[in-house]
Amino acid sequence: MNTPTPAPLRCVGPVTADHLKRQLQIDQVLRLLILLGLPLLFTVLLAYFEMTPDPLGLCIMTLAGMWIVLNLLNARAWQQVNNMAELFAMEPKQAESRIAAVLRYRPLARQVRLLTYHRLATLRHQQQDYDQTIAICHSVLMHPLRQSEPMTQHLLLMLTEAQLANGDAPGAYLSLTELSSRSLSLVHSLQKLALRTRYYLLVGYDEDATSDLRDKIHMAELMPALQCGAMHVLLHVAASRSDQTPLAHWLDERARLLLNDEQYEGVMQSLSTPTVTPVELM
Amino acid sequence: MTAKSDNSFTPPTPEQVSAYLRRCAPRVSRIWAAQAPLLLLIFAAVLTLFAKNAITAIIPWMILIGVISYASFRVRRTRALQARVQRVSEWTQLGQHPRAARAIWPLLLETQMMPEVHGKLVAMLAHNLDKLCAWASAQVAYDYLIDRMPANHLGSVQLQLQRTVLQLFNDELSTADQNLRKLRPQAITLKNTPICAMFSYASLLQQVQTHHFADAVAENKSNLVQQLRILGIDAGHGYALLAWSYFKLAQRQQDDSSLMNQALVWWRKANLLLSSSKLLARQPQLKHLAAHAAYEAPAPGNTPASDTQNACTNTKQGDRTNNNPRDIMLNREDQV
Repeated sequence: MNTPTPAPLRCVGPVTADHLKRQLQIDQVLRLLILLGLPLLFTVLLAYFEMTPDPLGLCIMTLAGMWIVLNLLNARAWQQVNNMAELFAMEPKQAESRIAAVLRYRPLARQVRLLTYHRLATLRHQQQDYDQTIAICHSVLMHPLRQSEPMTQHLLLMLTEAQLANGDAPGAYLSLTELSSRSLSLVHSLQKLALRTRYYLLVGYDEDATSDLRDKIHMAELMPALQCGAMHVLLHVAASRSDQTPLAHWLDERARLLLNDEQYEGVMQSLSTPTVTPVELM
Repeated sequence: MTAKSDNSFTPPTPEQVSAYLRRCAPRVSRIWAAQAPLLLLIFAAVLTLFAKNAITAIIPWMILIGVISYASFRVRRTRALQARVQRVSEWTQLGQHPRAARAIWPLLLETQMMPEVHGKLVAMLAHNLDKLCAWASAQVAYDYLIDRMPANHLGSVQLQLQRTVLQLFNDELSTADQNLRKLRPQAITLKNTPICAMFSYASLLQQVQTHHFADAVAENKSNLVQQLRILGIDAGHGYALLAWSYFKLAQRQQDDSSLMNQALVWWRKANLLLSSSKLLARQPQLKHLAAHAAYEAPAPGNTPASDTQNACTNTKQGDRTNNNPRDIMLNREDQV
């Protein structure tokens, strides 16, 4: 007897700015049709058959009801992609399938669709598909996320990291400038510090990387152990390149206590380690 | 809890914490209360079908305005609370423990209807009290959380280990021993996790508190760095304990100089990650070792650590030629 094969997991194809714009437009049209068209039709019918003394009041009440129903459906869709940090770590395919399912809902509220694409960007970033990360982040950032400043900041951080990984220093500079103009949370400030240090190393500004070292080390100590160790390696490289030997030695000693040999070599080889993680956001 | 400034902050007593947590226990809203706005709107919609006069025509509008006002008020209030919790979380991370503990106190009352946020706040309160060395009060907060979580949940295991460490600091050695025995099977299966590292630290602390210094050295001398690495800079507390174990053994066996050398090596590792003041704040008994290490240390200008300090401060303070051990120690405490 053949065992039933599991249904194939749905995947999300490549995302472009035009694709996202079209999706948002379709959502908007459908939403208008449902919110205005249905209540109007319902009210006209009731008024035609003289079933209500107050057609306008009924129309507005029906509109409010439809609005609540749509919001409930959106809330349900949002629940599916809200807390995905663990799923990203354990079952990335399952996570992608869930995102694909939510993106097929119509009409999705603009905010929910954009935030779902944010989840997709996070997943692509975790899969180290940096080209797609950059494409999705750019596409989503073109549409302002109202009341979701942390998500915008997270998108900018992922964008910067992906650009650094691709060696795109001008792009990373612009993203870092954009981040600098925002009021960041502590977690995001720490991530920005690590990315800025990587940017300095990429463009050869080693002395800038080691300036204000006392504050930088203090901030690095607030990072998780792996990121803290990686930050020490970056500072060690910057100090070595700028001939600050005792400082480089001290940073190296600390880094070797914070990282094992494998992690240390990994950071040294790529001068990068995943800095922007989804955990603190979900 | 009394406070005017950080200096005059007095952590709450265990009885105060216990009574307050009982008073602020989270509550769950009734189902009808959550559905009430929707039911009211349906009622208003039905009412419009039977509107006969001005009053019955106005009532649905009043209901609509009331429901929307209530919903926007709740959203604004929830956002404001979340922003305050976020700020407290940042103060906790930044080590501003008195400020954080003070801010958490009223928030516990305001988040009774948000059980998840409430639990997070209690965990932060416990952590802050722990860092303020109010160990008995922190233990009450940990107990509160542990009692409300499944025993085998990883979060619960982590909290149980943190509570065990506090019990060891509070000299509740037999209770701590029972807890460690209970947690051992689960902790050792979770290799390379913070839980396993915390268990190793708690075991080492137990050996030190019970004066089993030889056991502490034998079990940890080869793999302590590997075991505690995942704790980040907090691993320094563990290295300091091993240094202390070597130091005590060296005092017993004064003919063996290698023990004292090892004590200094591990103390230096601890000092690389944490300043002496931080180490001594948690374990004041280490002051003898700190003083000894300061006497034994070469002149500060020759040590990598002081070189670093000089480098970090761009040698603005000039060369340190003072060989007074106390000054050397204080200088080392200033290290980054």
